[in-house]
Amino acid sequence: MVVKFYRNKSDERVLSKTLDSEYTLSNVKLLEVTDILHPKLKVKSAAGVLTTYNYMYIPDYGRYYFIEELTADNGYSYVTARVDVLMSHATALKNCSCIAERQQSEYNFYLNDEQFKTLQYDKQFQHNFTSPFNKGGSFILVVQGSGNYD
Amino acid sequence: MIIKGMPGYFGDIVTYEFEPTGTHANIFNGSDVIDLPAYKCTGEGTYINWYKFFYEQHPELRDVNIPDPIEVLSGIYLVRSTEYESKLEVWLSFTTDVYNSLNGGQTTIAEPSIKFIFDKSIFATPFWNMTFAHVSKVYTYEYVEGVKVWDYYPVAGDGLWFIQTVFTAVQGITNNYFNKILYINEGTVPTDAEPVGIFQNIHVSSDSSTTWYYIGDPATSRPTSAYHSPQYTLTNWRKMHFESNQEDDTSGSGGGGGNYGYEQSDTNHYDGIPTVTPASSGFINVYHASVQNLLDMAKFMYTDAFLQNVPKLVSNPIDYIISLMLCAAAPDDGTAESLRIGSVKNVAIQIAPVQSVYKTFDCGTVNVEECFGGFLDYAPFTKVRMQLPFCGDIDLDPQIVMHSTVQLRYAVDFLTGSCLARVDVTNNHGIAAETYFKDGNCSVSVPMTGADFNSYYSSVFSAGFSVVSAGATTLATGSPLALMGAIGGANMQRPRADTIVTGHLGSNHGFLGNYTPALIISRPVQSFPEGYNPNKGRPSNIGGTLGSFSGYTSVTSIKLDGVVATDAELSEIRQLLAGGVYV
Repeated sequence: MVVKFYRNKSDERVLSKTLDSEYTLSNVKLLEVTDILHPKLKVKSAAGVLTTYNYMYIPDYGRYYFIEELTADNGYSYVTARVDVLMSHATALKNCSCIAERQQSEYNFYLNDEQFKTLQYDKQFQHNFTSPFNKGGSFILVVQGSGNYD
Repeated sequence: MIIKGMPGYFGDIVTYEFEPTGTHANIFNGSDVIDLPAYKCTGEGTYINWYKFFYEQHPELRDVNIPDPIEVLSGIYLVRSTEYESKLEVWLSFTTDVYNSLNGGQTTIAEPSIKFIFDKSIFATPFWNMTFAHVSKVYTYEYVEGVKVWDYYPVAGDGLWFIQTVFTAVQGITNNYFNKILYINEGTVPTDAEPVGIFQNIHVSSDSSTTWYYIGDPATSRPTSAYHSPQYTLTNWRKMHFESNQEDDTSGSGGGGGNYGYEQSDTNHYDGIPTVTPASSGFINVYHASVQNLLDMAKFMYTDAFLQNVPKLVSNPIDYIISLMLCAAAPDDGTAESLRIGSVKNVAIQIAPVQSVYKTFDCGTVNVEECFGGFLDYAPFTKVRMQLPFCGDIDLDPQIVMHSTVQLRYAVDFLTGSCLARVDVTNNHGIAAETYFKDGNCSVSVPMTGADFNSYYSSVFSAGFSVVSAGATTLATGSPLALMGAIGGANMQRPRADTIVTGHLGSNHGFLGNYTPALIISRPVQSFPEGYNPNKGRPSNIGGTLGSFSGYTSVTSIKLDGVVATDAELSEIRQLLAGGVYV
């Protein structure tokens, strides 16, 4: 079985990860009967070579894996890996129809953002109107009238 | 077929009747020939109504591209682009002959069309009022047997050429030269307008590229002035458009900007103050008194000139005073006149009558705009409050107030000192959206004292009536003194005059407060860390393929079609996407 090892510097949540320093090994064997989502490999390689890799691809399974554990014993390296479902199915996932709940650049700022933080104090802005009142005041006298009587 | 439509944005509902003419028009959309029935509109047709009509009748045509020219002017195409608020595209298409006549007799043109793109300023006025400056881009495509052979880009004078072209198109509306000018410049419907030409085949697109809505057919009705109304900007057209398309995908970036639930609203107009006031009855006189007026009046009321002339219906001169108050607002004064109390006039005291006991004061307006351009500008983050002197504070709904003009007016009743603050909020659509009222009082009652002779007279008369039988003989003589003597003989109490108070001792806290009304906006202070968007994203609710997004994305729902994975993997994928991934 062929296994390609990589150095992955991308966040685990990145769909299409940036990989470099490909290192291919053939005749790699599974350590035991194992789940392809969590394979355990027995690899014969030069001492210390695999220690700089954290990611791998198994063409036979068509999947990418995070290397979770790497141990060495007597000229062999033992690799415990976990499938990266995002990278493994990235192409198909990108064609899937979805509704974005939160998005980095395609968003609507009028939707309430419950995760957004505001300080406990507000800023107050005052806009004054013209006042119809005056401190001097006006005396209003109301007396009995008598119609038009003079 | 009868439909109801609006000739104007705020106009009345008018019934339009469309009837099939029995003729058909074959429209070539680039790949297929579409057979369209032609209709005659017997109402005053507008493109809005044609649009509504055809949209209802031919929903299948919404997505049909119909660029084929007919007759002199094939149509006006209103194009809603992604920036439809700021862009209007007008396409004019001509038959070969007309185009040739305008362009030096070229003979190889099969399907010429001209596209004009206007900047936002065009929406300030109908496009027929445009000037050359409005034409920001002009180009044409020339086709030979369906193949584009050259593009034409603007040169000096193109704007003029366009005006001339429109002018030519108006040929179908009027034969009168001056009417043409009038029509182009003002939109005034010419008296000799004919139902052909520019109103034909109007298409509205859902985007700026390919999708067209067929909204008109050869019109047989006379064009109306409503067509020229500035209310028919593309913005308003869009409102009409979306009224029947609320099921469309309305997600999008930024503010929606639309009024998807558009409905007409009556303006909440200001009715003014009452024209008839209590002072109109004649039973009271209302004066705007100066301090000197009051001093003179107090003196006058205890003079013989007053006491001997007032009818003896009241026992105390102070009873002629209904109220005296100090009001924080000033009434409109009439021409100073002689003080008149009851039927007694004192020419020596010149006092200003209050012209009307009601008066309104316009305190001006304040524009409230968004600060953040988003949810932070609304409740519960933003709060809007008004401080209204003499009335107290009121909270305004930020949703109503934001992006609006707030106008404050006070109405004051100088008879009672009551005042009513009225806050009108006019939103950015020009419709009064909300009116708030708050009542209060802007006066302080001034107490006045006087001697109450009522007790004096009442004691006199009660004593008199009690001895009336005993003194009947004396009464018959008609001598008042004899009457008093008779009363005195009946053990009359000593007469006394009490002090009474008109008005009351009270207070008005408003006098001690602020006199300037104000609008107070409490805006939140955001804590916006760098990298917020790449790390958290913002609420989106936008649909699309996952690959159409870029950067941080969390999804509420995804259809995992085409993903060949184990069930455990699919579950993990859903979990990861819900938590947020980087595309």
